[in-house]
Amino acid sequence: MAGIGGAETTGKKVGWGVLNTVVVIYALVPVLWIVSLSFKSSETLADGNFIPREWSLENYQNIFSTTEFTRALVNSIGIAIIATTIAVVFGTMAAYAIARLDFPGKNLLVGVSLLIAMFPQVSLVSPLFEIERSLGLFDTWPGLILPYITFALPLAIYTLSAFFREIPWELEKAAKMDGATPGQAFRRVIAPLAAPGVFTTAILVFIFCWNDFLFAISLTSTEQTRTVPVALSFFTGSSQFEDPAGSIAAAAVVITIPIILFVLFFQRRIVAGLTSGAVKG
Amino acid sequence: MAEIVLDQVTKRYPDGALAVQEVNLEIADGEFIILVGPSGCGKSTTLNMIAGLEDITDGELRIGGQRVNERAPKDRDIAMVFQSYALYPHMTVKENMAFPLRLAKVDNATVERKVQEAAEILDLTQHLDRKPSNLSGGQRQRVAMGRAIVRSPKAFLMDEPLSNLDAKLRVQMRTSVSRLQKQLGTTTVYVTHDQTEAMTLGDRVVVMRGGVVQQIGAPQFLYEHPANLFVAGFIGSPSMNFVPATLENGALRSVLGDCTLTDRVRQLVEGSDAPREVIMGIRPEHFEDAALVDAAALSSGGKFTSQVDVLESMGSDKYAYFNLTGEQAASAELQELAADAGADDVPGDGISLVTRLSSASGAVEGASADIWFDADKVQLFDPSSGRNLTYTER
Amino acid sequence: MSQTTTEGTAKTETSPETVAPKKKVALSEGKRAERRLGWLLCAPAAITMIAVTGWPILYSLLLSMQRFDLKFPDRTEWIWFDNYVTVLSSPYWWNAVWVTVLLTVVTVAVELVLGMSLALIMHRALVGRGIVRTTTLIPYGIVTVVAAFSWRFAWTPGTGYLAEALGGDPVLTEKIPALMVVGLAEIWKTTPFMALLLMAGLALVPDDLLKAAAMDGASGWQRFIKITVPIMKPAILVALLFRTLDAFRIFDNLFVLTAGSQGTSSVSMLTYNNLIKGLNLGIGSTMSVLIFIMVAIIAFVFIKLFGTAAPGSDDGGKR
Repeated sequence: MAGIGGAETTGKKVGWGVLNTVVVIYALVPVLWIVSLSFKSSETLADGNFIPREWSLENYQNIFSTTEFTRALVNSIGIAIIATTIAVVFGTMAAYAIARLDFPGKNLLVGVSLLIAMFPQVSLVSPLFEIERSLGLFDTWPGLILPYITFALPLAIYTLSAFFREIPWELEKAAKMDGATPGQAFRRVIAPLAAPGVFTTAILVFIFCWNDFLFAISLTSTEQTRTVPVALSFFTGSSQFEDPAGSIAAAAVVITIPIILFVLFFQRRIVAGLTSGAVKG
Repeated sequence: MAEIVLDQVTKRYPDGALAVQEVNLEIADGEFIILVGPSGCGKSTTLNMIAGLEDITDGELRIGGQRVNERAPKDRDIAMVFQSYALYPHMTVKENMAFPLRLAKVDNATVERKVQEAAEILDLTQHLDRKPSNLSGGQRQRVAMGRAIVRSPKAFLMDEPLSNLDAKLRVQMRTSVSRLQKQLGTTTVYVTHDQTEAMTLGDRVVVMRGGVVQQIGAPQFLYEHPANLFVAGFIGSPSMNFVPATLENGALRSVLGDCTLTDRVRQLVEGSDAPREVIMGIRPEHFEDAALVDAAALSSGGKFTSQVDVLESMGSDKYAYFNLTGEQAASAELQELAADAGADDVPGDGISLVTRLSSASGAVEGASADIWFDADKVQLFDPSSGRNLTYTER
Repeated sequence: MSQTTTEGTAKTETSPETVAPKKKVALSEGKRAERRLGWLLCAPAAITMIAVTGWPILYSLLLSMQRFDLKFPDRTEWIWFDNYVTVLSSPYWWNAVWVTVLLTVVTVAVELVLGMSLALIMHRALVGRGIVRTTTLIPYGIVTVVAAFSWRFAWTPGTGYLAEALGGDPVLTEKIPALMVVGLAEIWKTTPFMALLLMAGLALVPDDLLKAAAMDGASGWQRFIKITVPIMKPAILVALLFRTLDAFRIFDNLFVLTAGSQGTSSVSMLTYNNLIKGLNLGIGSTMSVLIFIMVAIIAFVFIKLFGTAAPGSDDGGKR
């Protein structure tokens, strides 16, 4: 896998080492900065130093002592998990059908999901705002879960159908010959093989829901349903004169931890999932 | 165990393409039958229709006397071995073989017993707990066979099961497939594009071309009595030589020299209303170095002299290749065969000829040689229809 | 697919009495089960997607032709294209359009170059490939709002290390510097995604081809331009399409960094402000429709460039 005509000399290794370092710094500096902020005490918060002069857990104590943040955390987790579960289940079913079965209307479905993937979300905000208000869905969990599922579905369908296509066709025929109904062929042969793909898709969809800001800020109006990204933007600090930066930083770190963990543990799968649709088209 | 009957079975795709046309075939109980032909000849489609993986457009398929056209594969009680083996990668060897039994809701004890039996037959006992990815090609192939035999189905369908193995293993597996089939006595339909497999494995061979059955018969019979140019050219390796020839008053003129037809051949030709221009077919082994043929035979056969293009000595005999000047025999069948062999774009004009000579032959590469051929073994074909003018049931 | 019943019965001249009755069920059990299963499996996804997008799209078309201000619900009336006239003659709208286009073009162009370098590093790194791949995923995974806050605090005079380092000028309060910061935040966040898509394209370039080119005397740069780029062109176009459409919707970063002040609103930002802050559904919907049209044009241009390589245009995945 070495480059053309390149021996693995020490010089080259050092060169790569420098490049890697640049990349790592690029990726980590903004993250480390917010971590640093979150550990600063209120006195040193505005000192402009990259590394805290004085470490403190004050900000974390603050955010967990109010319902503003804890409620938002519960909302974020609950909404993301429910939306992910439903989107992945629906997406798995549809992707299996698209990759494996022959039925009229298949191309239409692929086209529609492609359209939605390209759709400017802000264009849906105005009508959804009005429709959800009249249906009583505005400022409720389902009111956010529904658009999340909708915009996660194209992602799920593309990623999953790419995974499904890699499962050899003949296995399904073999299952049929071994006496399986199409349903059994799906459950007992395809589903276990697709599990890694489903899992990867779930991570990607979860990140999408976790990350959303536009729908969350437009379709909620109270603390009862706000997700963390929205709650962050409403943080004001305990008094009008207090800088909310510390609280925001602490809350930001808390919601970043699960993502960093996902990335650390499932790096290979996430890369495979993100790129599968793009390469195979 | 059952017989399989294809009655005018036809497959037409929605775009109108005819993949298989009115195939009539009666496969006896316990028979090993081979479907052979170049790619796209409809052999796999036919197999898939028997399996139930593709719809039958027209005609009737009966297994064990019952019409099964509308039955799903699982209700046909037949097992299939795939080219890619189609082993379930997430299951162990044991689970793979047990899968059809589990689907059929067989009780645990029976499943265990049957899997053990099959594993013993196929020598897989020590691999039962491994995953397919840890097996060699030959072992995977045997697992695929095992999954087919565990439930003692009415018939086995095999879709080029050996084509993913390397050459040496393929010969080995060929004999074990043959032995296994004899041992179990289960009706087997085997698809291949390899004429050697067709010749060595089957009780009977079905040669297909363009969705149409060309000829059905025992391998040796097809070899000696091909019904048409296509079968003649497809069966046998190296394949039959074809040379344009003219029939004139019981004599045959061609670039291989003039020869008189033997009485046997003349009677067959007269009985079949032969045209004047024909294609003459001779198998390589029906040539010989003229110096090694006795005088009586020499006078009754044909003879030509030409420069040996390439000489391959196999030890037991010698293959001498010639390139004769003249028009190549032309027919749609021969073109298709050449295309299938990938030889249609090999440059060269003139007639190329393969002859198998005795090892005692003194032929030398680059030098001229006198070659004789047995006039009684000549087969003549109608260039327009491809029909064998010298065809006989005996 | 299978033939229709009429075709099936047409072919029965030979033996009509035996074949005709059975031919009514031209599709075998298996084939019909397959169709049913296909529809059944797709139904939940299709219904959800249509329900949540189909009606709202139509509804926003209807809303865009009405005077509809939630602050003055009594004055709601049908005014046809007046909203469009209002929006299209508004300097705020055109400013937002130019800001959006500028941000999109600049960030996507920079991301393409940076992303390609990053992709090459990830693809070819002799050491530490795992670390590089993992860390580059962090910007992708991090919540945009969080990243935006990190940048905002970094540029806030007094608080931020960057602001201090650059002399403490309040960059986020002036239009051009603020837009540069927004662009920077956007590039930081999405370059890894671009790089991953491009890396997948790089993996499609056969090593033997590059070796052959090297034997033919091509330099590293020539190999990249003449071999690698043409072969991975489909991957580049996919990456560009995804990123362009995504950049065009820019909202989160702007909301946190400038909230659209000093004329830094993007079209999404402006729509949001009219809708949620201004509660003017008519104008908001009009902008929604206009954004939708612009995105459709961008997508159309890309699909034309793709030709048949557009995602979803083949369903076999076999190219």
